Amino acid sequence: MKRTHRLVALLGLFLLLTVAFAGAASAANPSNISVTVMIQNLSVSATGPIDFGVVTAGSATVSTGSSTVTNDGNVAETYSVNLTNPASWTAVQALPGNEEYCLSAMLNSAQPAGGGFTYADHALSTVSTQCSAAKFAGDQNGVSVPVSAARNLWFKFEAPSATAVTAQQTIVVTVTASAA
Amino acid sequence: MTRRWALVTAAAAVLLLPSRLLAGGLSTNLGEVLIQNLGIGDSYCLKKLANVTLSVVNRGEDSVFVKATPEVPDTAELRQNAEPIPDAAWIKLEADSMVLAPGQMGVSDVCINVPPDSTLRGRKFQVMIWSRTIPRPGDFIACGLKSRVLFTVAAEADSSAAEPPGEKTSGAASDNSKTRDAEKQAERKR
Repeated sequence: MKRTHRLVALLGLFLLLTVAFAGAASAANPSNISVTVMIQNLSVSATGPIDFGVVTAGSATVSTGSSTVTNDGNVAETYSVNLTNPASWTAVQALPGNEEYCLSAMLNSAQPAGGGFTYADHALSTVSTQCSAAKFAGDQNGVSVPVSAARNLWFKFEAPSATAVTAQQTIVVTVTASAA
Repeated sequence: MTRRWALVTAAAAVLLLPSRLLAGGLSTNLGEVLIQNLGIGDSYCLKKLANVTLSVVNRGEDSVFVKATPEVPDTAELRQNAEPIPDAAWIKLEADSMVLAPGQMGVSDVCINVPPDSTLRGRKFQVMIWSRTIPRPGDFIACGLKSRVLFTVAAEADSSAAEPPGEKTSGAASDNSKTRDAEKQAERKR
């Protein structure tokens, strides 16, 4: 009998604690959470490589071919672009000095002239930067690119003013898509 | 120094010759998600909350190494009057890197930890989940996707009898969107 009382008491205590805990939880937190998911197929593809061949120190070269960036998702997309430095050089968004280089990108239907690139609008950095009506734009831009549309991404490479590096260097360009 | 200039003037050249062709691509079904009425000091994972995960498919012709990281959005990336998340560390990814064969899909849960800070109440935040391929030596182009995650923090300490703040979820859904579990019961931390 004594044991039964103890069990009942323990059960009561447990229930009391449970109710108290539940009450505290609901008082501190919202009870309803809504989740809205945009069912989208966000997809991007790009072709490469871009070959600048042999370039001289201090020179500027516009690529003779372009990378084709395609929105193969099912919603309009806006692109962002960034680069990854090779081991020995550092990207700048100005006239490059020793062991520095500038890689610029422009979305254009045909090969652009070198003078069409500006540091402010076309020079790439290691930070993923979103396209705008001016940013990385030529006669095409990377804003709200329609489904299935392709863009031609051209590059201008400005070599270091001086460098000890004569081996092949690869600069990786990342094209990122987000829902427009 | 003389040797260095000799290198520069004699060779006077730098080769930029990636060694192989690439046609890479990535896709995801998580373009944008909006979660409303989160409580401060709580953790929420999208899989448990709405059976939503970050799914990334390699649409290229080679295996790729994919890295995913939460990023604070820049001003141009902000939508729906959201603020940039104060600290990307609020977001945890179950799998922040994966190796994907051609056509293979990688999946990661996305968890949001809202700090116990009452100044967050009633605010809307945005974070970008940046999934991108990490190029191998010789690759020139890498592909990336930014998934937009927006969330609101409940304005009231106890809103059990009130409507959730912010936009109505049914109105926010578009033709190619779907509202899942418009009123889901929050998972409680024990």
